[in-house]
Amino acid sequence: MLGKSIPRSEDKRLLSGAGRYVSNLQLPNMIHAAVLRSPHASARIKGIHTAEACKLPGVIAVWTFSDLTDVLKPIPQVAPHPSLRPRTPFPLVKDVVHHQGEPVAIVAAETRAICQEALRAIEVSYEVMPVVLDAEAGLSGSAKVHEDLPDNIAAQFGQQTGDVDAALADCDCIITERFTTGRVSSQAMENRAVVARFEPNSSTARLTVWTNTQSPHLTRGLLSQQVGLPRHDIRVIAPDIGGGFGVKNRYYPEHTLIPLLAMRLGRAVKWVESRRESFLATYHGREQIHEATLGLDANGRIRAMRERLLYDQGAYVTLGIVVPHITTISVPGPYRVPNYQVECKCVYTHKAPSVPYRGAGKPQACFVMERMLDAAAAKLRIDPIEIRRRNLLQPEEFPYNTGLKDVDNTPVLYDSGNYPKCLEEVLNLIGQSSFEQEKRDAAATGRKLGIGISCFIEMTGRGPYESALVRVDPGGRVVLSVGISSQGQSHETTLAQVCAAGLEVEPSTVHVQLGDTSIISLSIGVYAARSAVMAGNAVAMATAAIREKAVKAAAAMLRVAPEALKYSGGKVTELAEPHRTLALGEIAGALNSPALVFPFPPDIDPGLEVLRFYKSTKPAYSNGAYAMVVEVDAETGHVKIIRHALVHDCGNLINPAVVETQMTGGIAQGIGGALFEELLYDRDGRVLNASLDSYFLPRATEIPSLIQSHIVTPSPFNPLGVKGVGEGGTIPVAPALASAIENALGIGVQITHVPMTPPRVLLVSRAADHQNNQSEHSLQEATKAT
Amino acid sequence: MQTRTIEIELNGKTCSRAVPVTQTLASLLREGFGLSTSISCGEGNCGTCSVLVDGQPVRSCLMLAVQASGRTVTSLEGLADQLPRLQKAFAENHAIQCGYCAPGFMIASAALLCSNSTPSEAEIREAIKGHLCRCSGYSGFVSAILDAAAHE
Repeated sequence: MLGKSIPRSEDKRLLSGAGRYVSNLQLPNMIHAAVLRSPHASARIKGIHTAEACKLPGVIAVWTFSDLTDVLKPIPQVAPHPSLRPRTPFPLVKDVVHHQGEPVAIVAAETRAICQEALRAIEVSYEVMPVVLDAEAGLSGSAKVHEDLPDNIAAQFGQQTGDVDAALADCDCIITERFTTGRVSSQAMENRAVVARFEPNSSTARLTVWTNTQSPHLTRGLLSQQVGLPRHDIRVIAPDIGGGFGVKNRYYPEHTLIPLLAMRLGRAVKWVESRRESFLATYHGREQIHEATLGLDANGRIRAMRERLLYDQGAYVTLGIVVPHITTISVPGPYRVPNYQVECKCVYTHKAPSVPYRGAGKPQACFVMERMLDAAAAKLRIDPIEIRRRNLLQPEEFPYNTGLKDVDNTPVLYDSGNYPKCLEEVLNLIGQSSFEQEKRDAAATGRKLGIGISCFIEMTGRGPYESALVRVDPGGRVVLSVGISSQGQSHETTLAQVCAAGLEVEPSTVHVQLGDTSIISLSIGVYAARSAVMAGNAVAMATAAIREKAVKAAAAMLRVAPEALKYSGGKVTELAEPHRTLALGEIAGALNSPALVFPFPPDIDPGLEVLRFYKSTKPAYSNGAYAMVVEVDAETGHVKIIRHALVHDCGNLINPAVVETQMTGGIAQGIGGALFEELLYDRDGRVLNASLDSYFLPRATEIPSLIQSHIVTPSPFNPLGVKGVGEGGTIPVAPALASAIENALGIGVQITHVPMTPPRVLLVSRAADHQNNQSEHSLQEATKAT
Repeated sequence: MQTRTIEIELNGKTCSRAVPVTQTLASLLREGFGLSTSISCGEGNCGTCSVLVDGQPVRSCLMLAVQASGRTVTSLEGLADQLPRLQKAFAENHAIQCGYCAPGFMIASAALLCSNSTPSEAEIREAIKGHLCRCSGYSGFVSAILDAAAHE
């Protein structure tokens, strides 16, 4: 059952138009809500006039902060850290706006169209204030984001392994470079949405909230604090979700505001974000500035690395220092870096909060390390592939302790892998050995081809725990309830496979329930490629316990010792008399019989139902190598991907087709991020390209099919031996693309910014031409002089 | 709000309805008829809300409901004969992940296969390039449409 590419059980409804997305939900007597957002990034609200909006027919409520002073509290951030000076938003701006798109007022009306009309009728007078546009400006102290923090620093931290100063003093080659990565928007196809209903006389949870969150339980916990209801008086349902990518794991102001409307107005309320709002108000990711120094010996072996990270936090903290901390520990990646020192400053700016977006700090780290290796290879005149071979960790070095500490102070310990094999195999897949000939042939027709390669690891399966409840029905069907939700990762299929494998039944007999706090009380959520590792192993534990209980109960039913029985194929069979068998459903029926006598020993509880938690603080590290061949148009800066290849190792595969589609999709997002995607701001901190016609996502004509293969090095850190795959694809693309572009243009390491948009490629290309012309010119001059 | 009564042939049935003159076809199909047509960008960039109008793919967020009057409109639910073949090919190729964009891609696939029963990979990519998917990287759609064409 494990390792089979069975079709997805989700597809039956999703391909018939029966997807249960929040925006499709229609409740009786439901009204609509819309949010008025600040057009300014930094401003004080002098006054809000809502009277005209209130008068419009169909308008039910128009609220600003002053209407809700009795209940509104800052939204808590959920990852405390000693170095952190957290500033968090109120659900509606109290007096000062800290980023464009912050909610200033909320309207409820009979229809969405009336809501929009009401928003236009609200007048807000703002006193516009100076803006902090980026982390460096924040540090310069030219303006303040939060009045009480004159240095704009949200957090600073660092760590060191070995002795970097001493090691750098002893290096043959030292490279120092600065790298920057742009700010991006995740742009799931489904916008955020919240529907809330309050039933004051309900005998179960009175407040029900449907929302496309990656973490229904986290949402319930924060909502409980925000509206003052106990957690178990709230039911959060995350039905089908149209893409998450990390940003849908956060708690947003609308998660408080829509339930409050429902509670106070006595009507079900629906809010669906617009695409423009998804650019301005859904949190962003990725913006970082790096200054890195790499020291190597003459053979290209890394001796030491120093790294300084400036992290653009945006206006508020929502998840501690998680993303920048991941970057700081991820820079060494798959390479042996015996001495490493890193320091990070997180700086408040007048932009939307920066939060984990697919890859969560790892793509930037990979870009830095791979670029530094390319630069070192050029300086030492070593082949860029060879320098990687010399520094990759070897299979016999695992488990490998990097000496670094994770954000929770646990050691950063790589579990297993075969990094060199991935590199060698990807060279075969991309056709590296014949590439020089291919390049020459292309050059003969005026085409510039280039090749780029990168190696990466992906920390997956973060703790602390995940839950699974397996219940066997007397009819023989199995219901698996898990706390996690799904945003397209095929969890209903893959977790059914794990459950079916554990119970030795067909996956079609397993019905998976997920994304609803009422089906299971405790769960953490979906992020950091943790579902296969955390939820998968919880399911495996629960099925093992079901088998154990089934044998014990069967022993009582058949009046034999448990040792006389075996569990196989979803049945318990007596070894000596194989015709005596009990199917799981029969045992479940006996364990839940309404007869007055419970015919089992006192240590057996009723029902064939088991809840288990898988707890772990040891992540599993997936890894891989990625290669691409591109064609660069030196006249326009346009980059066309000719082919690309991936060799990936995520341990044991539950469903290879699901893994491959996750990797393909991750790489597609990596390509978007590497080639096109960047939020651009005007000098007042307003986004210039908050639309899909100016913020470009990759399309079918831009991404050729991915050539991919897998090697399998099971994780020794979890019973299933699995490693996560959700984020991996986004990590290696940008550095491979940068190398490939430079290779095509015949230049050294000059690309230091992500994304590599056509204008930027053109700049690099022209600078290279200029340099070539100049050196040719000075060569001619020198020849003349002699 | 000003309304006008329109008559459309929707998924094979003639429907008459009074609609606000400012209502988009996408909104009418979703809210008025409860169909699967999803809205993603609402400004014509993503293709998610595509339906067939007189057999041609149209972004229903850019068309007013009144403009559809007197015309034939087909959503995913109305693809009839083509639907099972597309569903099978999409499922076998693991084409979709979150599925939010699926109705638009299936409409585009149906329109392509009506006009070209043996499309090349390049023709398929050209035909679906107006549709955004953020999960898949598109290759599953390409193989699914090739399969669907082969099994016609």
